[in-house]
Parts: sequence; C-alpha cells; structure tokens
Amino acid sequence: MLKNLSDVNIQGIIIRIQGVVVDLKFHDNVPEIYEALILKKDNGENLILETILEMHNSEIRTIAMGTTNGLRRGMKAIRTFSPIKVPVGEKTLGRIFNVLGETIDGLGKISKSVDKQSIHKMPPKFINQKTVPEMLETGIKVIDLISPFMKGGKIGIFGGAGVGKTVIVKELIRNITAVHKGHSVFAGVGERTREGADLWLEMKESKVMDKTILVFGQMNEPPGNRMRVVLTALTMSEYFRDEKCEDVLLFIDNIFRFAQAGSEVSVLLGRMPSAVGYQPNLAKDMGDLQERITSTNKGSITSVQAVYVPADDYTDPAPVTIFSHLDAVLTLDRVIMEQGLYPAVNPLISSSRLLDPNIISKEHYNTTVAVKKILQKYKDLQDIIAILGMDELSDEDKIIVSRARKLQKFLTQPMFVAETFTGLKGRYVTVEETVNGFKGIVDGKYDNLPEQNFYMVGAIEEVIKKSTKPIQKICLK
Amino acid sequence: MKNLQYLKRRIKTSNSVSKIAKAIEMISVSKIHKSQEIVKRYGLYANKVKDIVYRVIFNRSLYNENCEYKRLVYIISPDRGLVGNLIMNLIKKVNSYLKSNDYVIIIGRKIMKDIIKYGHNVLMSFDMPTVLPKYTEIGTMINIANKFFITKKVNKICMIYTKFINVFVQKSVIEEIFSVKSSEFKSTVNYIFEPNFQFILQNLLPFYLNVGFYNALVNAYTSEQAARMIAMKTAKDNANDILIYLTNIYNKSRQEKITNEILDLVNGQEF
Repeated sequence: MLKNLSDVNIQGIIIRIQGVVVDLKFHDNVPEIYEALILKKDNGENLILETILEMHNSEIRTIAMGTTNGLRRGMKAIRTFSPIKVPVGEKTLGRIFNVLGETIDGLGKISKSVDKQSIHKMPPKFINQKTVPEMLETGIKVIDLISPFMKGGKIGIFGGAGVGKTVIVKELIRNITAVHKGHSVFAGVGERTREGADLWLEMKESKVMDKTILVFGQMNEPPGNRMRVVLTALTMSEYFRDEKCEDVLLFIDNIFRFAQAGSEVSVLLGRMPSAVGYQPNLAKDMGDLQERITSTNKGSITSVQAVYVPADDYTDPAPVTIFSHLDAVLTLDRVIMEQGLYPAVNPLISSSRLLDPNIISKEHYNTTVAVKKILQKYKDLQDIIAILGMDELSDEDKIIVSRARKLQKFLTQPMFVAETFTGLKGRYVTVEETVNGFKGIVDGKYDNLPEQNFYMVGAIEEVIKKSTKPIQKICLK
Repeated sequence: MKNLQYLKRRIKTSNSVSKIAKAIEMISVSKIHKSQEIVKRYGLYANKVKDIVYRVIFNRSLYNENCEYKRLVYIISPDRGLVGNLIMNLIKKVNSYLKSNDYVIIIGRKIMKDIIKYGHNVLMSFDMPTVLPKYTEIGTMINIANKFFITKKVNKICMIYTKFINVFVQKSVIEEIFSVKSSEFKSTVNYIFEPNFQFILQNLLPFYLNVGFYNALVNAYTSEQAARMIAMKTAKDNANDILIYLTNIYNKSRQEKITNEILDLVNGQEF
C-alpha cells in the first residue's frame, strides 16, 4: 500500500486539530475527497483520517476515525490513495467489526487475503433497481396488521428515549433471522455497548451468529466512527446482494445517531449550522446512505432501522429527513407505553406503503382500515369521556369504545426477547391469525368477552380459551 | 412541538364546555334549593297517607285477587342526559323488573328509546316537567291508572323512579304503590265507616294514588337536579383540568418554537 514512507509528496503535516477534525498541509500532491490517510501516533497506534474538505494552499480538512488524543501539530500523515476499505465476503460472517473493518470480538484478525471494498460507493443505478411488493411476516400482530413490512423494503421504527425501539428490533432479529435463509448484518450505531454485547451473546445462543455480521460504532466512539459505521455495515451487506445475489437483512440501531454524528462534526468542518443545529447537508448525507440500501435485480436488502426521536419531537429535522426514505413506518408512542401497552406502537400514525388491497389480501386491508377507524373514533371521543364520563355516550359510541379498548389490548403481545421483563412467554402470530382475530373484534364477535383477557396474548384463540376457563373458586377459611 | 392551531382549538372547546357545564350546574343548584325541602316534607305526608290507607283497608279483600296478572308500571326518568349514571341505574332497574305483559307509562324522554327497544306495551308517554310540578298538574298522568285499577284491568301499580336521599346519593327504586293483597296490611284497630266502606274507598284510593305518584315525581325531579348538579360539577372540574393541561402544553410548545428560532438566529450569527 505504501511505497515510500518518507516520500514528501505523499505526506501531510498537521497544522490544526479541533476535536476530531484535523487539518493537514500537503506539499502539492493533495489527497482526494474521502481518501483515507494513515497517521502513526507516538504510542504506535495507527489513526485513520478521512478527507472531507479541500481548502486553499494544499490544505485539507479530515475527520479522525478514532480518538485524537496525543496528536500534535507537525505530525505527519501518509496518503493511502484509496478510501477506507473493509473486508467483505464469507470470512466476515460470524464476526464483529468496527468502522474500519477490524475485528473486535477477540477471535483474531481476519486473514489478509480477504476481499476488501471501499465504504463509499454509488447507489445502484436507476435501471437496476427493482422492487416486487411482497409482505414479510414478522409474527408481531401490530406490525403485521398496521404496518406490514415489505421484502426488500426500508422499515423505520420511530420512538423517543426508552419506548422500546431496541426491543422491537431485537424481536424482529429473533423472529425473522431464524426463518430467514440468507445473511443478516447488524449495525450498532451510537447506542449502548452493553446492548451490542447482549445481542452477540443471544445470537451465539440461538445459533444464528454464523450467518450474521455485527458492526459496531457505539456511543463511546468518536463522531467520525459513528458517521461511517453504517457505511461499513452497508458495504458488507451490499457484497452479499451484488456478488452473491442474496436477500440480505440489514438492521440498524440507531440511524438517528448517524445524523447526530454528522451534526457533531459539521461546525468543526466549517459548515454553517442549519435548522436546530444540524448540518446543512443533512438531506444529502442521509440520501447518499439510504439510496444505497435498496433492492436491485440481483438481490435485495431489507432494512429495519430504529430511529430515535429527540425529545419526542417528530418535527425534528433528523427524523423528518429519515422519514421520507422509508417504505413502512412504525411509530412508538410514550403515551401508549405509559398505559402499559407493549409494544407501544401508535396505530394511528404508523403506516406502510404495502397497505394496499392489491398487494396484501383484501380482508387484511379492510380489517386494518376498520381497526384504524375504530381507534380514531375512540380517540375523538376521549375528550368527551374525560369531561362527561362514559354515561353520556350514546349506545353506538359505547360499543365503539368497548371494541376500541379491546383492540388496544389485543394489539399488545408478549415478546420473546422481553421474557425476563414481562414474565410471559413470547408469542409468534401468523398474519392469518392476526387478521382473523382483529376482524372478529371489529365485527363484534367477541363483544361479550372481558376486556382484560385480550391483554398480552397471542392469537384470538387464546382469548377465547382464557374466557372459557372456569373461574377459580376462592376458598375462605 | 405539538400543532399549536390544534391545541388552540381544543383549549377553546374545553373552555366552552367548562362554561356550559357551569351554567347547567348553576341552574340545577337553584332548582334543587326549592325542591329539596318539598321532597322532605312531602315524603312525610305521603307516608302518613299510606299509613292511613293501609289501616283503612285492613283485612278486606278489595278486588278480585284472581284477576289477570297485569301490572301498570310508571317509569320516571329525566328528559335529557348529563345526569351521570342516574339513567344507567334506572335502566338496569327497569330491565330487571319489567315483564312483557306489563303496561308501561313513561315520563321523561330519555328512557323512551330503551323501553321501546325491548318491545314493551307503552300506553302513554309524557315529558318530565322542567320546573317543579304542582300537585294539581299531575291529573292527566295519573287518571289512567285510576281507571285501570278501578276497572280491574290491572292488579298492581308500580313506580320505578330515582329516590332522592341526599344531594350526593340518589337511588333507583321500585315502589309498588298499590297491590291488592290485603294480607300485607297491618293494623290493630277495626274502624267503623260512615257512610260506608265502599264510598270511602272510592274517594280514598284515587287520592292515595295521586299522593304516591306525586311523591315519586318530586323525588325523581329532585334526584335529576341533584345528579345533574354533581355530574356538571365533575364535568366542569374535568374540563378545567384539561384546560390547564392543554394551556401548559400550548405555552410550552409556543416558547419552544420561539427559543428554537432564536437559537437558529444566534447560531447563524456566529459565522
């Protein structure tokens, strides 16, 4: 890679360090945009710098892919003549990587002979893109009903802090990966390291690790890492799509951190902050990334992305920018979570492009629309109930309220990954069972069953079983 | 940031609901003031009349006890809602008591729909008086009962209404004003009647029915006002709570918006 370390032409000298942003001056042979530079620190560690900006007088501005502790002016960085490259292919399976494609699972380095690809690529061409609308069963009632996922689509799970985004992502990994034949890639972006470790252990336990790649750039890492780690994971999944023509699953937890990392370095790079302090090129950053996560005529990438919503503010520029790229949106609501309804999906503002009678079954579509209608009506009535009480409602409205409450309860489901929290065994519900159950409630088939029996169950049969169980006699002594 | 326009609209709604609730509450308060006293006094009077009637007909078989089992049931409900769970309780009582061969007379529109739904034999229906009814005004309501009872078309007259206990408690009751089973009557004295028993009875019975009915009507009326007063007070309080909550959110979002705009300006300034 490097011909002559002392060649002045490929060396740059640090002239300024501002946090993770490092300015260098080159003699005249200036590196290209996105080119990686290697800098040897005094303690022997290598630091990778990525060129972001070219300035006058052969000066360039770079972002460090690592901590800048110990750096000083006058240090020299050497050109590599290529962007950051990460290993791809079969050998990466079952391993954990950081942003630079180095293994961090302590199982030894990956062999030198492995294929490497640049993390910066063009999105697939227009003519190569292809989507066949087909539903992906998740086994989670609320998702299959309200916001059905599309094979090869992009799914966003929105939610504020601590409403259960990660739990849903993990449950999806558990439900889909187990059935899924192809490979999966998980990108941990700016989230807790502990969660990453947990995930790894769980995957090893459920024996899916050998077809999974984990890529982590968690919240303890510098913004440069968090900004590029999604690209690393994406490059690895693109390999399976493009070279092996596979259907790949890509989980990203949490895509918001990508935008956040960008905004952290934006000002240091000399860009004028835009709305709410985000980088002015937020839409481009996001577009470049999201456009690559797509399905082509060779294979597909189905991606599930958790999106953190800062301060529950859905008008924040970052969630808004992400929103426009998605095929299906699942919105988690704190208000629903506070009622103890898990998963806390708000059915009224969750939607999917797949919700179309020509794609999913007519029955499914009608049921979904009816469920939403009843819940909307219930929401409209809520002010009246809060002020005047249930007694002032007309008989029809009372029925709607009771059905809506049953629907709300029935939308909950115990999760496999949350067994330790709920104490209930997880349930997998097929789409057919889901639609049947909700259709029954909407049609009033189960009007006589008590409401609490709908809470935290799987299919509707379970509710019926629960209700027919004889009431246990209480012995008073 | 919540939608400010939407919040504003909801605040406006809560505000007007609160105002209306307050107005209705005030009306009920003024009405209840008058009728509360009357209920108390009339209750004593009605009891006394009942006592007298029971003593008079002691040990006498009034009517043919074997007459076709038919009851005439008066149901007294409010005309309008906004009375908390009073109507629900009344309907529950009615459903537990009413049989298909009963004659029904309904006073108050609110319960009409529910009675008709079950296909009962409704003879007549009246509106509930909006002001405290006078004793002289109940003639049309009770005449039919007199007629039915005297012509032995029915052997029982009942009233289902809401008894006024105090401002906070009203109870739905079934009161059998008159039943022909004379054995239930208790008395220790054997009276001598002048000119004769039949004459006395013909005058006493309609009077007794009138008094009993009027008592029920006054009770129902007062209960309605009391229930409405309490319901509206709760509604007003609830609406005010919501108002405070919404105003809070509204102000917060508004300030948040302003702060964000200032932040954007200041951030841009530094460049």
